[in-house]
Amino acid sequence: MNKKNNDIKSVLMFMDKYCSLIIEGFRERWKKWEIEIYDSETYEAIGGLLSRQVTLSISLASAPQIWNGHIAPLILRAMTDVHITLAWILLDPKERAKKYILYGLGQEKLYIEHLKSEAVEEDNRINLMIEVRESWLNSQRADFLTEVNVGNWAGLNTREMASEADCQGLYKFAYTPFSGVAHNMWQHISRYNLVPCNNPLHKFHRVADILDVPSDPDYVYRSAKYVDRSFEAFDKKYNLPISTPMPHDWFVEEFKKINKKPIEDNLEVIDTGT
Amino acid sequence: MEKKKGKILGDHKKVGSKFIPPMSQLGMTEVSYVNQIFPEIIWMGLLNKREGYHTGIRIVEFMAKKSVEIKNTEKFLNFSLASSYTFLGADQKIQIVAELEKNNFLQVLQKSLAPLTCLYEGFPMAFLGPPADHNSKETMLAIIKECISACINKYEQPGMVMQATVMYIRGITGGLYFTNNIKPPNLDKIITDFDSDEGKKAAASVRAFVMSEYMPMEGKKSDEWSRSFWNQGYKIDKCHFPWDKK
Repeated sequence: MNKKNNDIKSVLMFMDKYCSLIIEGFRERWKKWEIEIYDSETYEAIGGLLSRQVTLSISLASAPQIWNGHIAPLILRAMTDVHITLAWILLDPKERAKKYILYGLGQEKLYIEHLKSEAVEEDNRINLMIEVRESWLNSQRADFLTEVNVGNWAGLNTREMASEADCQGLYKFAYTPFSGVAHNMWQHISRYNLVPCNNPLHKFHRVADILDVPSDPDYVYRSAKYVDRSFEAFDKKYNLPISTPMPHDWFVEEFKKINKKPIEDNLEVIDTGT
Repeated sequence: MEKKKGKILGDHKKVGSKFIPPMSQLGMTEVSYVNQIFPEIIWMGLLNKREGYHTGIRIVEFMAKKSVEIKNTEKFLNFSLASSYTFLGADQKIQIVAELEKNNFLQVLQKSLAPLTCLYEGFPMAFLGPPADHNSKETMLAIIKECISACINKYEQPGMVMQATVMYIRGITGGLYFTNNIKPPNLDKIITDFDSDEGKKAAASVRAFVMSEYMPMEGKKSDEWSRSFWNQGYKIDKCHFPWDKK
């Protein structure tokens, strides 16, 4: 029991250090980035996405209770999405960051219109919410000039964006399988929410159940890889001299110190390099 | 209890996957008050802050009228916008400075505009020169920061007075016309009775006018100074990152 407790303790301490490392890496990049305030939206969009990537990884690393196949893929799916979006924007930052922001403002306008349409006149709480949201929208762009796009924000779907941004591998081997979890599709549900009945009379049908699944720090390792990829794409674009170690290499090296087996041996599925 | 409305975005036109608002259908594009217009007019904010609205506007009026008199282009220039002064030649600038000095406006302008003249490169009105008495960089930074904070909201009075001056200068130096059935906005109310209905009505007209002043029918307005003003701002005073405070 003591050994198990010590193992858990060392993994948690490792994760704390990992979180500090990626925060440091993120802040170093933001500090060294030469920002032109006139085009502040470009920096806000890219910096915000990079922050989102780090935040998601931190949230996963700090919550061992979700290092499982039920929840962790939801975070990893979001992280692959962040990376594809970021990598695609980085190919033409000014234009694409603008597109990204305008789409978001359009979505907000649509939401406000829905609220207005559904709200009852006397509901002060909803009216206040509408007022606050309209003020947020108008502080960035007049709502009467804001277009609402109900298609893809980039004019491309995620597969096409991934292809343009040279992330096909990530799309095929990570984004797509994790999407199955995010959208609660059969390939996930049949494995994680059903168990086979052993009675031959019952056609070996599957029984719905609430399953306990093992906890695995490999999910955090994967998230470190996605942070790594996003940092790498950012560094390549802006050519910044970064001294903070890259998350992936750091994770592998440091994890060896607390775990006799290399991290790759902990994988539940074959690592495709994504 | 009744719900408010029926169909949402009913006045929008659907083009592909996009719903285009009526104003955009008319070809109206957005001009950013903060990004594009504000750097052009903040000099009046500094002047107003130091001298008060009436004296500030009087000095802008004097300078704009003189500039219109001596400019050697047929093109209309609104001299409440800082970049308009880039169209004056060196001799004309000397003439303006002399006129301002003769009328005791030069020192006031030099003192008021010191943060822009001394801290920023390429300020189009830097030809007015720095003030005789020296202010520290910290003092000038504090002044311009306070002024930007006060004027950056285009709906509040300090920002509205700067915008109203753009319209006023257009009115007194030519090129502003109203048809018989349109009553010109009462600009005085923006100073004297800002929160009144008439003040609010005038403010709305002014905001729409200033947008159109920056969006000429022909040609493209240069955003060189606006771009430079904001980009230099990031270098003049460092950004305090939230995590550094912890």
